[in-house]
Formats: sequence, structure tokens, C-alpha cells
Amino acid sequence: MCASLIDKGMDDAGGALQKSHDGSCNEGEDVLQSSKSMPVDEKSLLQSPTMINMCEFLQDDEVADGEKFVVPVETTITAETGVGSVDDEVADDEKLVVPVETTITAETGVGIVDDEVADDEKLVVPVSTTITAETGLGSVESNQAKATDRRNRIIALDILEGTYTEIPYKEFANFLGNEGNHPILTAFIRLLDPLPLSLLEALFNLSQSIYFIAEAQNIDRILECLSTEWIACHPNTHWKSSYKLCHIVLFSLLILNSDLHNDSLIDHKKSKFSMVAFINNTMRALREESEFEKLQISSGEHLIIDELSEYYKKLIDNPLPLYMESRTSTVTSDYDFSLDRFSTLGSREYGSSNLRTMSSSSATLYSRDPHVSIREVSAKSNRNFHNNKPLQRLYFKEPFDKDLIADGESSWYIDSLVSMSKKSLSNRYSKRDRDQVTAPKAASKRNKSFFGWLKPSKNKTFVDQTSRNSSLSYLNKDSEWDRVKVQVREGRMFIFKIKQSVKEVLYSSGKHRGSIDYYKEISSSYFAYSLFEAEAQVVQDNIIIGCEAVKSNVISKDTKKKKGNFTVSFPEDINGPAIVLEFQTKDIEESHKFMQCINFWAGRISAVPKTQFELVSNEEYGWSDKIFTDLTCLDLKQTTISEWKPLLGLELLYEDSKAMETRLDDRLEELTHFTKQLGLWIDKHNEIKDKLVEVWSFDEGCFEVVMNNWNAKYLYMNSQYKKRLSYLKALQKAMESVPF
Amino acid sequence: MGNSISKALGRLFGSKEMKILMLGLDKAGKTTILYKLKLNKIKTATPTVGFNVETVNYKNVKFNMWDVGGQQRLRPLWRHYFPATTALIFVIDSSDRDRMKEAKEELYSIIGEKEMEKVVLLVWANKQDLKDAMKPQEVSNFLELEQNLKNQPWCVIGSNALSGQGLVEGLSWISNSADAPKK
Repeated sequence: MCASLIDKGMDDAGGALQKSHDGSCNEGEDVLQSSKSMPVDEKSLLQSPTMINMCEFLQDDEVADGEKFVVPVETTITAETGVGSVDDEVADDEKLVVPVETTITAETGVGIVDDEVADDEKLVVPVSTTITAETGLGSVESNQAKATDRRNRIIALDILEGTYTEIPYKEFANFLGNEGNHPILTAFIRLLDPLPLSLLEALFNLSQSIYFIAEAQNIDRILECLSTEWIACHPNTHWKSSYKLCHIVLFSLLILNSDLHNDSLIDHKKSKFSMVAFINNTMRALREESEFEKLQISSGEHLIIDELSEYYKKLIDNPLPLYMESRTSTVTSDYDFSLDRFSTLGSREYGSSNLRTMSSSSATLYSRDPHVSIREVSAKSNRNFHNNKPLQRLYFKEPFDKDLIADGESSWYIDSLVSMSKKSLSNRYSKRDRDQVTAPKAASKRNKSFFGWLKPSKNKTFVDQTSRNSSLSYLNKDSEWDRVKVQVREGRMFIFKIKQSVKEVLYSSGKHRGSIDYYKEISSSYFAYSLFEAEAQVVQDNIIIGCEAVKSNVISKDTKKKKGNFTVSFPEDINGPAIVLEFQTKDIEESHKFMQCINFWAGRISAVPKTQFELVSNEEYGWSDKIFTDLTCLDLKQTTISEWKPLLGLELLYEDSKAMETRLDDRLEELTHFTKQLGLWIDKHNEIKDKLVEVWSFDEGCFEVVMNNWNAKYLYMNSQYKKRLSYLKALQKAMESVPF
Repeated sequence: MGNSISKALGRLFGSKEMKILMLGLDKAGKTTILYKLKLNKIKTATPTVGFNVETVNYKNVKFNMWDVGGQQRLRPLWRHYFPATTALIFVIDSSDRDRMKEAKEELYSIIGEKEMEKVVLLVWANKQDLKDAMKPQEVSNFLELEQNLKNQPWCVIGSNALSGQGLVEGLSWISNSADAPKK
């Protein structure tokens, strides 16, 4: 942006330069005109900042409109710039004429966008100091003010004509409304002169002229400016000379327009303003204002009411027109001027992430729909995968990642041939679910077969989920297993179901090592799963069982070693119930490797759900400070006890998230801190239990609600603690292999 | 993509209609939040001249957020919005300690309105990502909600509009609290 602004500044300079030789340097429009005619090659030559300095203030006495400065040619313009054309033009009279606005535009062009500079209405000031410092020329301020004016007029005109290209046209209103751009706004509003007598029509004119959807504060400033200008045009109405009252009316009309003509508004019939309500509200605001300002509007009140009702009638049939993009302006993007912090993000590189959306919290969903068991986003990610489109990056790339992934088996990468349980624990997700798959996305049809064998396990309640993960296949000797190739890398788990006909699968060596294409080729179906919020566990860590019981399942025929089993669980989320996938590996060690790798990636890409532990609210779950401290003054029976539920997390919004971009060591620190803190919270939660029993036992109903709340929170905290701890361990272990 | 989020929110809110008013001082981050919540690479409604109003449609769920604001003299006009408002979201720049008092005054001037008496109040202590940001607890203490709001559920949630942290938690809280049995 900086470069282009400088470029623009130089355009103007060049334009004026030519003009001065014609001896007809005049109003902004002329300058604008001539700047457009500047040859392209010159523009490109004039881009570097040092070149700008060169033509800072030079001037010619003939051009006496005070907007130019004299500088002897000793400033060696030619030497500094090497711009031949300038040199030629100047050579005759040994003087170069450049309007001051050149510098200003070049230097403050950035300031328009930048609040630091822009919060001062006098854009000139910082610039003039630079100028004096650099040139030794004094007393330039008044001249510069004029130059700034002219520059503002040019920008205003560009905006009006839709030819201002520094920002997308949809941002024009936000740009004008920005506090720092007040002079440009004023210039812009003046261009709308003459304003019609009707305030509503004035508003029409405005909304015809720019894309008029903006932030409320910016709209506010634009309308304020419009009302000042309107008063200037029409000083003798019943509004007297109070622009403030007109401002209120304009703003009110705009609210009315948003209300009347936004089809998507809730409950529209009910909430649409009636004329009476509109007039009453507006009048109330007007009266408050006139009281405050000691204005006498009461005499003209009936006129105002008439006027307002007329506006209402007109507006209800004719919405304010929405300015559409003109042919010249082509930039469109989601871009917002008022978002300082946003715009700084532009410079950083972000890969957008397409994650499975799920709740951070393995939370209870508020409205469950048992018919949908398939995660749409997963399906989508798989579709990408299926069509050989690049999958989106899920993590912040560290310099060492590439090597570690390439290194072979590590926390970063694992690839092996394992078995995966065929079982379907539940009949609840029967064919109907698969049919459901076809509904939401076109691509889902092709994925049907994937879901056929990737059956979600039984939909457990939140409580069940925290207490155990299913490992039933392991315990059941009749379990059926599918041969699959599983690869874990970069935040995803790829599962390939190998075709029956393929007897030999190349192992993790040779030229086919890890080649996705190769696996796709030999697979009857495959699936890519984001490991977001997933957790892997080795079954044998939790269950010790005598070999005899389920022999065939436990001992590997080839190695005579105990087989290993691991599960990967994805918590219930907004798109579907929890899923547990079960795998069997050739030995326990390999299961541990899988667990490490999966938990490492999951921990790395999953944010810590600390927000909801830090929130402050007056909702009573039974254990607020009030209960414990001022028990005597409270009437417990009158207290409303809310049901405690974990809150859904931001992951819901994570489709385009930038928050994924957390560095590995930051994540590690975050996890360390969070697990420690969560441990303390759990201790504290445990401590209050006895007190709760004491306080609430007087009433069975309350007691039950409070205890349910206590349990819900306890289980939630515990499940979070367990999961984050396993992430933390995996990350710590992985960090050992980071080269520095 | 936006579709699935709308659906997700649909599930989140059940079959409810909510009109949510979002207020706060300028630069508090309201627009960033709206953008973040925009959820709509697919935009259903045609935009309307004037204010940013974000709507999520899902079956019979409509969820509306109005970005309103403006100077003191426009404040009485906010009454336009008050009827049928389910929840008020007040956004605070937690890092701007100098304007905290101003924010507090503004908040009380709004919830002091009769129409707003029963409304669920969510305060987003925004910009938690900034070093100097006040924690939700500090913000809550400063605002003295505990002392002053007796009859309506309120909640202060730390948020970071850029990352989205706290946003859905907040909406989720609103949905829980609007559910809560009123005695």
C-alpha cells in the first residue's frame, strides 16, 4: 500500500510538473486530469522514496498561487533522481516546479490509513516538520494547508467517481467516516452540493454516491458532516440552524431503513417499526437534544412530526439505494479500515485451516440431532483429499518440522500397516445415517463407502465419555479387523483400507515410503481425519488382561509378541457424536508410538479452552462466593440455580481460523500453564463439595440440582485435565527431538 | 463452509429467535467481532444500506446482531432497537484502561433503560491477546455488576475477536441463560 501511495503522490507531482510549464496550474480537477496523462514510464521511474525527496520543494515565482516553493536547482535534482524527463524540463530556467502536495501525498498517504497520524485532523503538521527539517525552508504551513485541501478534494472526487483505488469501494464509507479523515469527508460531502431540501433526499443522494454500509461510528460521523453541510445549504428551515437535530433525524432514518428493508431480520413483522414508534423515538431524541442545547423546537414540533411521517411513508416504499461497484473500481475484499489490528495481520502469513469443527470441550450439545452422525467438515476435508487438492495446513510451521517429518518414525510422523476394528457398536446409526450423508454435500455420495466402515461408536453421554473409552473390540475375540494403512502427519490421520486383492503392501521403506498416491491406489477406500481435539490412548495402559481369555486377539502369530491396541477418540461435537476408532498394532510399542504421534499433533493444533474457566458471571450454580460468605443474608429457596454446562468453544469458528497459528513452544507453555491451573481449579472444586452438601441439604430439589452441577463441572474439568495432560506429555516428549 | 457453521449455530441455539444488540465504545472491537461471526462466505440476505447487521439463518432460527453506536446525542435513538431484544452484548477493550470508566458509564446508561431491565447481559472483555489487558475478573470488579445488577443474568467473558476466542462461548452462554428458568 505504501508503495502505491507513493506512486500516486508522484503521479500528482508529475502532473503538476507538466502543468506548471503550461503556466496553467489550477484547481484540483485539473491536476487530477493531468496526473492521469502522465506517461507510464515516468511513473515507474519515480517510485523510490529517495526520488521523492528530490522534488520536494521547488518552485517558480511565476506560479504565484502560493502552493509552490522555490528551491535553487543546486539541490541537484538530476543527480539524485536520474530521471531524464524531469531534467529536460527543468534545464531551461534552472528551476523545477513541484507543488508541495507531492510530498504530502507521498508521506501522509500512509497516514490516512494509519491512526497514529490520522487522529490529528491536521494531517499537515507532521509532514511540515519533516519538510522544514529536510529542506531548511520555513513558513510553509499555510501553503501546505491549501495543498492538503487540494489533495483532500482529489481523494474525495476519486471516491465520488469510484476511481479511488487505494481501498475497496465497499470501504469508502468506513474510510470517510474514520476520525482522521475528516477533511476528506468534508470535501466529499461538499461535492454532493447542492443538497436537496428534504433530509431524506439528501440521504438518498449520499447512499447513491458511495457504498453506504459501514460501522456505526463511521456512519455517525458521515451523517454529522452531511447535516452540517445541509444546514449550510438551508439555514432558514424549522430546524433553525441546529445541525445536531438534523443529525439525529438522519441517523434515525438510517436505522429505520435498516429495519424496514433488511429482509433477514428476526421476526420481522413484529419488530418492524411502526410510524408512531419511529416518530416517538425520534422526537424523544430531538427533545432531549434541544433541551440539552437550550434550543426551542417546540414551536416547530408539529412541522417536524409532519416531516418525519412523510419520510416514513416514503422510506417504507423506497429503500435507500445501495451503491454498486462502478466499472472502474475493481478491488473487492473483506477489508476494514477501522480494524487497525486486523490490517496488521495482513503482513503475516497465514494458512487457513479447514478443520473439523467441534467443541473444545467434548461438551454436551444443547440440541442433539441423532440423525446426523457424519462430520461434514471431515467429509469435506476428505473430498479435498480425494480430489488431490492440497489439504489446508493445520499448524504453525516451524523450521524444523520438515526435517522431522521426513526423518521417519517420530512424534512428527508415523506410518504403518495395522488393523482397524470393523465393529459397529451401535445399531442406532444405521443406514439412515449413511443416507443422511448424501444430503448436505454433493461430494458426500462418493464418500458413502468411507462412512460405511467408519462407523461411529455408540453415542455415549458426556459422563460416560469422560470415564472410559470403549475398547470392546479388543476384549471380544470375535471382533473383525480390517487391514489398513495408517499414516499420521501434519495434524491429520490418513487411513487407507487396503483392497483385499493386494497381498503385499510395501512397508515404510523404499521408494513408495509414505506416498499417498500409492496408498490411494491400493485402497478400496480412504479417509483423512483432522486430529483436532482428538486423543489417543493405548488400551493396554488401562486394561490388563490374561492372555488366555482372548488369545487370538492378543498374541501376534508372527512375532509371538503381545499385540498392542490403541484407540483414537474424537469428542462429540456440533456436527456429530463422539467417534472412537480402534486399532491393533503388531506390538504394544508401536501402539505407544501412534499414541505419541497422534497426541502430539492433536495437542499442537488444539487450543486450550481456558476462556470458560475465567469467565465471571452472576449465574448461580450453587457455589458462588455469596453462598459461602453471606449465607445468612440469603434466602436460598428464592435463589435460581442454573444448570451448569460447559460452553461451546471457539472451534466452532475455526474454519478459517488464524488462531491455529500458535507456535509450538507457545502451545507448550500454554498447555503447561493450563494443566497446572486446571489442577488447582479441580482441587478447589473438590474442596467445596462438603460445604455444598452442608448448605444445600435442606432441600432435596436444590440439592440434586447443585450436585448435578458439581458433578458435571467436575467431570468436565477432569476430562479436560486428562486430555490436556496427555497433549502436554506428548509435546514435551516431542520437544526432546527438536534439534535446538 | 458458512453453511455448516450456520447449521452448527442452529443446533447450538435450538429453535429460537434472538435479537442481540451489540454495543460498546468505538474501537472496542465490535466490528471485528461481527466480521469474525459473519460466518457467511455465503450471504443470504442482500445487504441493506446503513448499519452492519449480521444474521444467521438456520431453519427457524434467526440470530441477529446489530452493531450500533454513535455519539451521545444519538443515544436516545437506540430505543429503536430495544423492544424484542433478547440479549445485550457490551464489548469492552480490556487493554484501554483509560477509557474503562467511560465504558462503564455507557454500559450503565444503557442497562438503566426500562426496556433493558430484563435483558441478558454479556460483556466481552475483548482484546485479551494484548499484554496489558484486564482479566475478566478485573473487568467485572471494575464494572461492579455484582453490586448493581440484581435482576438479570450477566456474564463477563474474556475474548479475542481476532482469534475468535470467547465468542462462541459468549453466544453459548447467552443461549444457556436465556433458557434458564426465571423465577
